[in-house]
Amino acid sequence: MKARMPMLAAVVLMGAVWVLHTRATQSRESFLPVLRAAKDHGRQAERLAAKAVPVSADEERRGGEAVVARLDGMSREDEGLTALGRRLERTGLAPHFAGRYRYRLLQDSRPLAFSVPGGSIYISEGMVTALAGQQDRLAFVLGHEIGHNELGHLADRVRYAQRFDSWLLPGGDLAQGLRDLAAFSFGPALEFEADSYALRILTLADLRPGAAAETLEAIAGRPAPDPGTHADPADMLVEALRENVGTHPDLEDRLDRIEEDLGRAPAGALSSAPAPGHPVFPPVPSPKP
Amino acid sequence: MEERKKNKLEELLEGFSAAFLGALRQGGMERFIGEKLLNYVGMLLVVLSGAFFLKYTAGMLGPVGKLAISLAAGVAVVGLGEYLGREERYSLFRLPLVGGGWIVIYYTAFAAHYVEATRIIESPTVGLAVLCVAAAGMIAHSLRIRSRILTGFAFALAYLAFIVTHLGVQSLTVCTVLALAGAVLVRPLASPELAAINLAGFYLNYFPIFRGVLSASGAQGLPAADFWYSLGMATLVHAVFAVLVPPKPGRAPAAGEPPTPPSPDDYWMDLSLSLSAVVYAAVFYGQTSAYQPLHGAAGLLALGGMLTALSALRGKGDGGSALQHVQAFLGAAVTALAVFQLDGMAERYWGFALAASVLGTLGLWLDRRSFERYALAFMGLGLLHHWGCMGSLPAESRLTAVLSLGYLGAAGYALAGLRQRAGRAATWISGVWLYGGLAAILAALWLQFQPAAFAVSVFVLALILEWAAMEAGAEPLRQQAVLLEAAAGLYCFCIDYGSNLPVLGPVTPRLLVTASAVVTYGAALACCRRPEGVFLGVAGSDWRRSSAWFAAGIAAFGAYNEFGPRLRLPLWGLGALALLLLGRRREEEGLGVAAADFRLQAYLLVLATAAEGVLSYLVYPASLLGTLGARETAIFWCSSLILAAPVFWPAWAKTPAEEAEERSARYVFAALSLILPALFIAKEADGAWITLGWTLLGMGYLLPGLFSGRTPLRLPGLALLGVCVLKALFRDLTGLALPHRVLSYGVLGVLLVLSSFLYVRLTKKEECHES
Repeated sequence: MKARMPMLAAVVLMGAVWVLHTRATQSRESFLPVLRAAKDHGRQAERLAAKAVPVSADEERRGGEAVVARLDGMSREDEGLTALGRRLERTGLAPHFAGRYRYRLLQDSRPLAFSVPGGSIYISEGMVTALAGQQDRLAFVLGHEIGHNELGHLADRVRYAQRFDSWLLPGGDLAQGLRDLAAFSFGPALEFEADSYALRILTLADLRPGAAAETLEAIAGRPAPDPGTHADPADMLVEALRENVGTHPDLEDRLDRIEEDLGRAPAGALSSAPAPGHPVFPPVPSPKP
Repeated sequence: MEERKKNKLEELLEGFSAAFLGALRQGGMERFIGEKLLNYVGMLLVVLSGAFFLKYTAGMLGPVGKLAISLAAGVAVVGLGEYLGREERYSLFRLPLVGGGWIVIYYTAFAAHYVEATRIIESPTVGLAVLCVAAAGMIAHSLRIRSRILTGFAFALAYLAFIVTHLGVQSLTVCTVLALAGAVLVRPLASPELAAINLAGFYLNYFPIFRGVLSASGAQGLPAADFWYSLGMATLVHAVFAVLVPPKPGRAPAAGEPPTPPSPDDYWMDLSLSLSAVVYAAVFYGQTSAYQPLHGAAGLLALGGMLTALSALRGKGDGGSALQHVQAFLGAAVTALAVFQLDGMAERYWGFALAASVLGTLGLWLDRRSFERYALAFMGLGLLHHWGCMGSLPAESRLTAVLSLGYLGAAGYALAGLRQRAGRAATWISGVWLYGGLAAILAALWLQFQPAAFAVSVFVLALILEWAAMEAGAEPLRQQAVLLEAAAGLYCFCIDYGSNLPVLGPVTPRLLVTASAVVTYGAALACCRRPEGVFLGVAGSDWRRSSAWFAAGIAAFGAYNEFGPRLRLPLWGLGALALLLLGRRREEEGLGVAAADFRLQAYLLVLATAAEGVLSYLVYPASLLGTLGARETAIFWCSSLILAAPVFWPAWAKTPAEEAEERSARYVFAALSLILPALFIAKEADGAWITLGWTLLGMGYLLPGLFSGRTPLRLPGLALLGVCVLKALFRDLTGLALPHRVLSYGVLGVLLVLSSFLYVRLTKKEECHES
């Protein structure tokens, strides 16, 4: 029996090959899974640092003040955006700046969306046009930006910017540019987190989570052509390098993650509303200051 | 100093020069000039005087008269030569006179049509026929008097006449008949120069046709039938010479006997035939490419096949004949050219595969290293071709390419196995077949499957090789298997599964690949022998142990990517437990080979689980974790309980070092079984509930530890209770409202007092029992 075991195992695995060949979604060769696992741990270290050296909401606001002052001159309040934003906040998934988020419509024809520390979210007119004004698509974009706030991405950037302030000579456009870069640039890992967050908030707000993929395709144009199932090792290295310096992951990667989240979520898992705080035990009120 | 071994070409040239110089040395230079050279040159001058006589009498006689005189003169000279040849003392004059007379007769036959002044035959075909009759007569006469020189001269004169009077395909037909006759006569007359004369004469007569085909007008003007006919004639002549003329392979020398050296005649023959083979191949290639470029590949394949077959007909073994090697090389080279000229990529794939397998089989059957080397070269070319084409292979050709590569791989393994069974020397060839075959099969799998399926198919291949190695006792197959397992293991870390949607119930592609890896490594460890000795600088046992590390690494990485923190931590914990269980073995073979590795992996995984618990669970945003379900809660708590199992296991250790290790393992796993639920409470509860939850958890470990007398349970419980106290004092003090603070402190205080009471009472009983 022992002598036949390898052959028996081979026969069983041939069945696995057949299943993977006929049913599996497209896989590809890449160094990104290992690279992203390492980056996840870096992200975890950032979260520990956030616990140890937290940035308060007021500090965040102060960190984004200068930028907000510049951008407010180029944007205006929009009732529709604000109403949509408030609907998302009412899901309970945005306690950090709940009720204090500002939703501004930027006068720019390019499809832009970004968030400034302190809860100010800017969507360009070009973005609204690109999304054909559809509510669930706009909600995904807003949810994505709210996610950057709620998940602490912007607070982390404020912490880094404060380090630049102390290390660099004050003043000058270069120093200011580096400061803004430290404050506002994210990496692919953070974008994935914000996408996942947006999916959840869409579902809780009774909006279509499937609008996520439509939104990305509408913004980025047609999806990038399938790079093929097999990659050159040189291409894999270039992709890994791009992952390190890029601010956003590839469109295909984002769509894959969204599809994976939607496809594997048990029924209701994305849609069940967690109670504010923690669902297992009832919330305990904090003492009055 | 050892003499350098000469290659075939050097041996051939040395033999040729020895044969030529030997003929010169035999008679001495003076005798050669006096007896032979003076004779022949004198006769040549007599013939020329006859020709001038005819010219002189041109105006006096009509064409018939002139021809009659010429013919009569020629016959008379031949007759005179025959008459004188009967006397021994005048025998020297026989050959020059006969040869000279026949030249005159030849000229007469030529002049009957081709000279204006003496033309009595209008039809070129009849003129050619007359020349043929003259040639046949001279050759027959030379054979009757058994003169090698005259026979050679007769053939050369005939070819010369046909070159001058070239009528295209008709002349070629006559020359073919002449050449075939020459081929038949070479061996009986022991006349190697006849082979050279006939081949040179034939190809010189072939040249006008060849030139006509190559020129643009020739390609348009030459009828297709004539093109194929001329090519067929060249093929026939070469084939007949290649078969009939070379010496038959002699009796193999008996053991201890030196091999019979080739004679000077054999060198002549070999050189002539080898050059002829090269000329023939060049003619065939040039003609086919120029006239039939669309079918050039087919023609070249036919040529390559023919040359290879002619080489194969020389029999078994790499003999001393240069012709054998030249034809084999030309056959292989022409076949390679033909395959490259094939139109479709798929056809080229099959071309390389079939050429490699056919040549390899021939080489094995005939024990010819040259064929085997060319076969390996074809396999290499096929793999290089695949490397170059794989980026641009059209979808409709993919299956054909896959099948051809699979066939090539199977052929490689089959030939390696047959070689070993036949006990052939040059074992490096078998090694190249094996690894080339493996490369071809991997290329086929890579082309057919996307990465996830490809990874599993490589594991399948590794298992098949392991099984085959066990059945056949073939160590190279086992080495290939461990190499594949290591490569596939590394590959598993480089697969991006895309959206990774389930394919079989809840099973996703990532899970399927991970499970396949674990099954493969498990089967290899449990059921297969380790490679013997050292392979690629690594000991055989280390190769097997690496399987354990690959399995653990792939499983841990797969679980990390597949599951969220709530499922990942219990899975890693249970994985560590399973590894510890596997590590409690002592046998030398099977899983016992990696027992120490399993234990080490268990401890590392415990540390990783605890670290992940803090990093990727405790501080992970709750908004990304999703809703906590009953299933996840049950899995988390049940696994935490199971993790305490090592505390209750029967002892396994036999040595003091093992006992120390086992003791540490109990503490480590008991601590982990406490840490996981503690993290769960910290994450899912809030404020004072954490303190209360931890307190109850601590008691849940402390009390059973006290009652069962197991320190590994007590100590973690005590530690947790200590943390509860610190939290209560320094955190809950400021973080809780007063009523909740009272509840928290009260319950904690009571439980601590109770624990202290039980602790004192029960540990005293333990001390009594021990004493």
